[in-house]
Amino acid sequence: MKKENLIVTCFWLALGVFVVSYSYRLGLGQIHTPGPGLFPFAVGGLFILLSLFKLLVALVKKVKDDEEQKTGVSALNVGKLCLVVASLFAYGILLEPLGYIITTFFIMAVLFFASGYKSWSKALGYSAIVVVATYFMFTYLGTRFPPGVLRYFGMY
Amino acid sequence: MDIFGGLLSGFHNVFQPQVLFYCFVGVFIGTLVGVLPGIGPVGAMSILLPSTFGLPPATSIIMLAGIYYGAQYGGSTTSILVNIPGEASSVVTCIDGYQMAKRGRAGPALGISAFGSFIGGTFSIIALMFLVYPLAGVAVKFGPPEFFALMCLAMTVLTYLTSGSVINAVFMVLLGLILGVVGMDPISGMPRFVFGCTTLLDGVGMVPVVMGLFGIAEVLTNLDESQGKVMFQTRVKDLFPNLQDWKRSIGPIWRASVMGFFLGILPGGGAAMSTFLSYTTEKRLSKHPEEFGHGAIEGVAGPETANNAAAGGAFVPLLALGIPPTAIMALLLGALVIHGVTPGPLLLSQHPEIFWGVVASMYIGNVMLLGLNLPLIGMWVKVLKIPYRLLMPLILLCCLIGSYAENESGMSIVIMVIFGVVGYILRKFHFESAPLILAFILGPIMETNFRNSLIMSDGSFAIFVTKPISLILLIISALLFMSTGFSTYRKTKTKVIDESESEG
Amino acid sequence: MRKKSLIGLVLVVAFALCLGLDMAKPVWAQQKFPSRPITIFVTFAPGGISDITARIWARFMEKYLPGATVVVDHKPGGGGVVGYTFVANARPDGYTLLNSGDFFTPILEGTATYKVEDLAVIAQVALNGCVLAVGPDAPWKTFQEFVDYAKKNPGAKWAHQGVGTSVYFRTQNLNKQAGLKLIGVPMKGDSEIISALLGKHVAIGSLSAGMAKAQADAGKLRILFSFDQAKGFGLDPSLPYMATMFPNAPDIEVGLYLVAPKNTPKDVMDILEKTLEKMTKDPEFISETMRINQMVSFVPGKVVMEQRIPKKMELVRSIMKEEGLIK
Repeated sequence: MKKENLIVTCFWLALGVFVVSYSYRLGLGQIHTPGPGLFPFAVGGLFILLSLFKLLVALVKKVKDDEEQKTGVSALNVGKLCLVVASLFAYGILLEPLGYIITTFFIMAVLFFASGYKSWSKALGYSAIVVVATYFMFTYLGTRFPPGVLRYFGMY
Repeated sequence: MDIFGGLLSGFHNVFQPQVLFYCFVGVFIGTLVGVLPGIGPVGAMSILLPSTFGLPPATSIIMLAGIYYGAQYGGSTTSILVNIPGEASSVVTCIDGYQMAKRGRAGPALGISAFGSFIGGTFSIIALMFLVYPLAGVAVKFGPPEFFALMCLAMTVLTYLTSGSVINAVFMVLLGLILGVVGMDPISGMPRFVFGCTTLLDGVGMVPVVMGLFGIAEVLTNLDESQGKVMFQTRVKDLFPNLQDWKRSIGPIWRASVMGFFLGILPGGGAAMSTFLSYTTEKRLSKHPEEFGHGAIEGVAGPETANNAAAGGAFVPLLALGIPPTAIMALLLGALVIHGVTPGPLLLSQHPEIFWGVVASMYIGNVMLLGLNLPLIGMWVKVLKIPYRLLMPLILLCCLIGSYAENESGMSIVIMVIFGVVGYILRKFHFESAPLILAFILGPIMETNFRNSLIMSDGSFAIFVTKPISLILLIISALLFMSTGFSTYRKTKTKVIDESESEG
Repeated sequence: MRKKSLIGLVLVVAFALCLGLDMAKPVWAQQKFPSRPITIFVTFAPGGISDITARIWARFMEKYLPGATVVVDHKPGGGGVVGYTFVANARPDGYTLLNSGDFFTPILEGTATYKVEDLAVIAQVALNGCVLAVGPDAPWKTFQEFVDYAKKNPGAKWAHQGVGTSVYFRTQNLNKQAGLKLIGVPMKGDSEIISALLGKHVAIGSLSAGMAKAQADAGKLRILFSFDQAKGFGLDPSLPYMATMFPNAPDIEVGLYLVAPKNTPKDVMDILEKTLEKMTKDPEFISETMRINQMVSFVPGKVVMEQRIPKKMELVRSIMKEEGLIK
């Protein structure tokens, strides 16, 4: 069994064990009043069984994996991916304190840059356009949007 | 109940300029709302509710209902174009719809989806007219054991959704079930897997999960590959489904209409269930099942028809009994109450104009939607030609707005990003997201009904086999499960035999 | 070159304008109350009885508070916790309010991140009607018949809206006081309860009066018992109720309050309380409320916070202890 598959199956196994122990502590209840832990306990148990089954199968016979090669992630790409993910996280955390305008401007710049606009000035430029356009669109174009969206834009 | 007389009077009431206008407004907003990921019909309906106060009750319900089934039409657009489902009932459309778009066949996909939605929607209204009262009784016969059995069937069917390894699909289903557990337990009130985060008290949230697993993960996957690559074949083959497409789709459409309507009657995930039941049925019936997952048009025609048929079916318990089967229907019920109409079994006799008005408007609404969506196909296909590096950030912005708007919490965005990373990793290891999402949505229904059944039977498992509907559903699930098991077993066995023969 | 820098300049100016407008908003807000729309939050999904109630209140509040716009928004989840927490943490300026019933249950359960003092009840506006109903073919025509049956057959199944809801506690209280030995089956709302009764999956159900009455009028359900005296709620006046059948037993009324975050300025609270008081005297409001089978019952906020809520908390706490919900 390929190394990656082994890692994944072990991960499922670990997850199953975690779920089972947590559920047990929640309380399985009695059979006529099933407790909150019963269902996740069963599901976790299935995780464990299935992972063990897969591991067993791998140990017993050497089956040629017909699954495709895991695509390697080049160094440059990992950097880009991390940048995007980190920026998105930051966006979620900073949106409320800093407001729509600043945060969206920066995240859009990052995204434009990451998706292929090589020069920062272009990325910033497009980002500014998007932010300005959406801001005016949403604030002056009527209230037919969920209040959540309006709050997102700093209104209400 | 004089059906034709009622229907005629319904049409008469609907063919007034004001009513037609509001019907159109409703379906138009519905389509918009369905297309924009994250903003669902419930949100739109609840905002527009106050603006209906000055209108007669029938007109306001017509408009609100229009938003609902309009959203079913629009939801497929994003599923096909960018692999982001608008809502639960559009998840299955992503599987083959997006593949079709990648192969330059976005037009036919959108087209068959619009036509299928129209046929499914119209069929369900006709069925609604004739069967509303007899069927209402059926909906009520489903108690906790029956629902649990139905969910077991659903889980088994979910494993068919995959075009890859079945065991991987099972892992995804189990993972989805666990995710569904996160949050406050509805029966005991205890928080589960919450780890002290108040945001998680109500569960992980469907919108951030869907947008993360589909939207963000897709973006991350694309970023991973070569830069600046335009993801779609620029020469779009044709704009509309051709004769070959129609021949393949007509069967799935009819089957899905029936399936969707009947499943839509049941409370809970009726619409979503009907989509993947239809997908699985078509996959099993098809002469080329290996095409599914790579752009088989049946995989779009069936589910899209099913979800519109289910929307019609959902009106059955509401109009006949005053019991709304889903949150959206509950909103319609609330709207009726606010207008001074008490929905219930007496709706037809006390307010026939509402009943027939709504039914008549649904016919007209479906026609309007077809008229709206078909010309838009040309426009949507052009959208695909926008360079990806410009399109991607805009799509992400929609996802960000969508996931924030649901709860006005930045945490939803964080959750969405987490699931984006998870989805990206899952894709790398060849796990598919569709079974996960659907199990996530249906899992809580399954668990609640399982526990309630045991409470009702004082702990005896016999309740699942003594009730006829429950027993039948469980037998079907078991049969399906065993048949999958057998075919997987045989496949691995032949693999091993081949291996040993080539080595021996 | 010049065109590009001109465009750049325009963009920068537009950008700065947006930023400026965005930052100026809080300053605009410091005017006479109410100078902005007031939002009433509902802790359940749109379309439910809370939503309808809140919308009725909003309409009449606008009538009695000149210049005000009152809108309804939703924060469902966690049995109300999400909504309660949200309002408890909101800016105490009177523009974010909450329509709710008794919000102390999560506190007793220990799942709350707020305290009773974090929310200030402006006033109680109405009482929610609750009834017990059975299916159309049920063998019991009066509540007394059911009581006799339940006593002889312990473990009869009763459908309710969920552990921790007001209706649940109220019925559980009755369950103990009358010795009915019912076993509760949790459902997700009145619609599921009605389905369960119609499909004969449970023996009896406790649900809101409004939903039950709609079904009863069509002959689909039979209402056997009302917790409050029936007439004020638009129900059949001959229905037995708590005070007649169990005169010595304590009852937990389901009050509906308008709530604000604590530290809301006193003058704002007074304005709101006076508006509610006027509203509850309006005959149209009274009839609208009765139409959804609730009863107008104005109680000033101070009384609610100092007397009603602590008393109810004690009662609910003792039930929760017995049920094993808390240690």
